[in-house]
Amino acid sequence: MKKDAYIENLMQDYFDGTLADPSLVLPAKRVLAQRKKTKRPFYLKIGAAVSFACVLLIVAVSVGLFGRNIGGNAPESDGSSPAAPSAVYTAASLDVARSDYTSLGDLYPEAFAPFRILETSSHAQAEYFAYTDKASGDLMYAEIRAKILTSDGMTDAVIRVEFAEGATYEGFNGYYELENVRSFGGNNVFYETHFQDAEWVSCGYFEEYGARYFIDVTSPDEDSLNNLLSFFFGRI
Amino acid sequence: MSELSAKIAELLFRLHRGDENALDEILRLAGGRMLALALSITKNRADAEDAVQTAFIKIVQASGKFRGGNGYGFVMKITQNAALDLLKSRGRRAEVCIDDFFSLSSSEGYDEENILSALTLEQAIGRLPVYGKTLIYYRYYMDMTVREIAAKTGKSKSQIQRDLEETEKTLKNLLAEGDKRTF
Repeated sequence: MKKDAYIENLMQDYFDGTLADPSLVLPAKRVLAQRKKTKRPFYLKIGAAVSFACVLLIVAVSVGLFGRNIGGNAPESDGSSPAAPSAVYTAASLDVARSDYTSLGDLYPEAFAPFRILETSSHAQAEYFAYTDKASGDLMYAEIRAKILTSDGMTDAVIRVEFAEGATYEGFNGYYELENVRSFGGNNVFYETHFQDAEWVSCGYFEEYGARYFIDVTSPDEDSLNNLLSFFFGRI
Repeated sequence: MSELSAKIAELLFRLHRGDENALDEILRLAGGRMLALALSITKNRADAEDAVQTAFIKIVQASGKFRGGNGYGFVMKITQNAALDLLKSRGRRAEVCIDDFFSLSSSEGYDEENILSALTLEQAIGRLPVYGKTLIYYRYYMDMTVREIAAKTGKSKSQIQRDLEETEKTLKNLLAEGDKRTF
């Protein structure tokens, strides 16, 4: 349902009447300039084996970004971060439209089969969006926004499933820098979890069924990422 | 997701890559709304501007954590927290009611050329029931989707859709009445 255009225009004029001064962004510009001056280049991870044909190793330079490990198991690490596709595409190259489980499942049955449970569970609801390439119409990635009611409360999850070959959306770059890793059904899941604003916020990345899965979870439960993976993929 | 949310999402990615112009664009698209939100909380122009300046700094610092999705919601949440933190630091408590979000015309520094139309809008919104004002706040102030409003209020999507349509129709009638009165 779209907003009423007449009311939206009136409201925009209403807000613009506050006359937000351009100087309001000056302190932020100084912070940005300072950040650009002190930004360090990527370094090879110390002590790790490198194979440029297959793996890009990244050292995290932002202190405090990486929180505690999820679940009861100690994280395993094979010394590598996930390999990012070489090319990047931007939001400007994409069209976005609402979609549904059936349409997406028809395109990529295996990749979307885990989310069928969102259609059948009485404790979950989901919205689907398809991001397609403007030029070719190809589905680059799908976004699933899910709410799942658990015994700990409401879990909000956003799962993006990317199919673009050899390229990744610029917004996903941060996931390729995740360092914590654990085994999941034979795959590596790269993840990070931290406590923020009275909730546990986790993000994770893994590859399966020919797709790249990017997951963001906000929940009262600190094991929400583990639980979500079990919920969708039926295994831990 | 609205066009505004998608545009701001794109700007946040550009900001993370160091594009200073993205800040100017965010100000152009959402600066009025950010200042409106801060004014509603702080009730003081100087404090509201301080809060928005702080919000922009925090947006720069947090842009790397933005994973896509509702860029507008990301920016407004940071602004809200900045305004609330400022009040706390001044030993003041935030006491905000729904009418505070629609009292901008009486705030210091409001555009004199737009005061009349702002007053007409405020008077029309003022005549809505509290529930209607809240729906207008969620939908047009905070750019929430029908689904998000349903989740927030605990009502069904179809109910929210019906209620929104009814509220928008009522508001437009009230605005038309208000326009006639000014003549």
